[in-house]
Amino acid sequence: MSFKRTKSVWIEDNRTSHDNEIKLTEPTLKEYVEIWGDVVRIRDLCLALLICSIATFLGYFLSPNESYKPLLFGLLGSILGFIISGAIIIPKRMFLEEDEE
Amino acid sequence: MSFTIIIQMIAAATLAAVLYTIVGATPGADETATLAPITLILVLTGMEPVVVLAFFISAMVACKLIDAVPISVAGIPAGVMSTPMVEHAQTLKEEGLTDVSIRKIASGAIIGNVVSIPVSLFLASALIPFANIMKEYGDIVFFIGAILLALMSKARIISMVSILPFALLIQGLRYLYWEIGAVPKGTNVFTSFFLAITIGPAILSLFELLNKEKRKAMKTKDRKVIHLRKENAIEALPNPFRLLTKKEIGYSAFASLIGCIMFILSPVGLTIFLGELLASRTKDPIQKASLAVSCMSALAQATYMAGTLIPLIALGIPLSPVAIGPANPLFHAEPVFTLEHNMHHVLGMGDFVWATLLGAGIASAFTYFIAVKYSRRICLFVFQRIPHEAIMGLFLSLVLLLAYMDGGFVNIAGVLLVGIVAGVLYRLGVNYGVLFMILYAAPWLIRSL
Repeated sequence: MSFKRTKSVWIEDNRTSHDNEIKLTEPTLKEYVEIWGDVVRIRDLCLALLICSIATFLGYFLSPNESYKPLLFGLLGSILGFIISGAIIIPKRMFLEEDEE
Repeated sequence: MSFTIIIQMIAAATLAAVLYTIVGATPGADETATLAPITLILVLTGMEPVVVLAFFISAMVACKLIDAVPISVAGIPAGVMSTPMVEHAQTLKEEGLTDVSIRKIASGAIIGNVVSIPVSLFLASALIPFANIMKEYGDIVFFIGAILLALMSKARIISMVSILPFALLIQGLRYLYWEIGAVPKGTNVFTSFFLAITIGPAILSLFELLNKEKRKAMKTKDRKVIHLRKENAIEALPNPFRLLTKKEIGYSAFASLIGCIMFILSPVGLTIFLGELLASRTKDPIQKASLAVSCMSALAQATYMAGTLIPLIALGIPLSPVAIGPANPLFHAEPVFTLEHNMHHVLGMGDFVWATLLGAGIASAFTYFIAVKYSRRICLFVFQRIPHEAIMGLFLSLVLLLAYMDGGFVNIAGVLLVGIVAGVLYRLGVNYGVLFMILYAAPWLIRSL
């Protein structure tokens, strides 16, 4: 990937993206896999799957056992898991801003 | 229809528009895999059917209208329905016409809705007299449907060959569950098998990660690089009908009309075929690209609208690729909806019209506004803030939960098995439509062997 610094700028995530620094020194840590249309890191994927599943099933089993409530609480649990994993995992996409010609 | 129901419909449609504006903009989020599970859960919670319908229609419209943003800004398809547009949007982007591209796609979507809603409602009413004939042969219709879809697909032979083995897997698991008492005899585990098919490719990839050799092969050091242009200030919100040329309006409306009539065919197939056909007669590359994206966007909306509304209103059985896929929970979500008792049976014509108008109206207005006005910001937010891992976590955990509810712990393994097999078949070229049709045809097919 080559680009002119004067014309284009990388937009960095404003959360601490220690990911990027590691790349220069330890390439082994920076390995991704492409799955379901986008790039993920295996460790983060496991983490997200674990957090979401635990939150979903906790919601399901802790809810009052009447009609639709277990399902609703399970759904809320999965959304909570989604929010937690979204907050602790840094997206792997990179941005390159180009000037209008 | 009471006042509280109307308020609920408006709330549900607004929520769907906001939620699916975000979901729809994320890359890789397939329409079936994102619309079906959430709709299913809403149906199962016992929500008023007409409110669920308003939610579904709004989600469907928003999800595809917002596709304009990732395609035009980043050149990345957000779902299956937007892949045909990528090439043409890319042409416009290279000319520095990103804003034009977003506006053409968003306006095309509005045209698609304006044409397809009345046409679908009319076609549905016209088909009602023939509904009983079609329903009488329901089981066989699904089997013939599987064969037809297989024959129409690109991977014809593999699709035909997989019908029987896949049906055997599904019925085999059902008989096993009856035998070991996981579910009462005669209860067909359906919902979780359906979801297993939708996320089959993802389940297969996850299993491949567990194999050392495969994992090594899947590894990449490249991250997705998304090219963004510097923001251009957009003035007042433009009128969607003024953004398109007369020719674009005419062609998009015509394409939508044809898309509605052919509701039984694959929406992606129709979008590619009709879109390319209509655009091919224009020579100037920029005019051609902008005509193509507006027609394709109109088609994406129209095929989905007709594919949902016509079977829902006229037949009550899912007899279109959309009804079998994303809209399936409106027809079949046990124990709330079965093929004998679903939205078709509980809602009247007035309910369908109101839910559609409210859902499509709210989603069109909201998402059009967002897409045209905040395209760059929403793209940055979604791509920068929402990790793909979290999206996969959300959908897999929902599938696991529904698997457990359907048939206990043993069904979690069952769903993984169906997912792996469906994933392999999908990768070999058997499309979702064929797989879903087999799921429907399986009981009859195995009984009549």
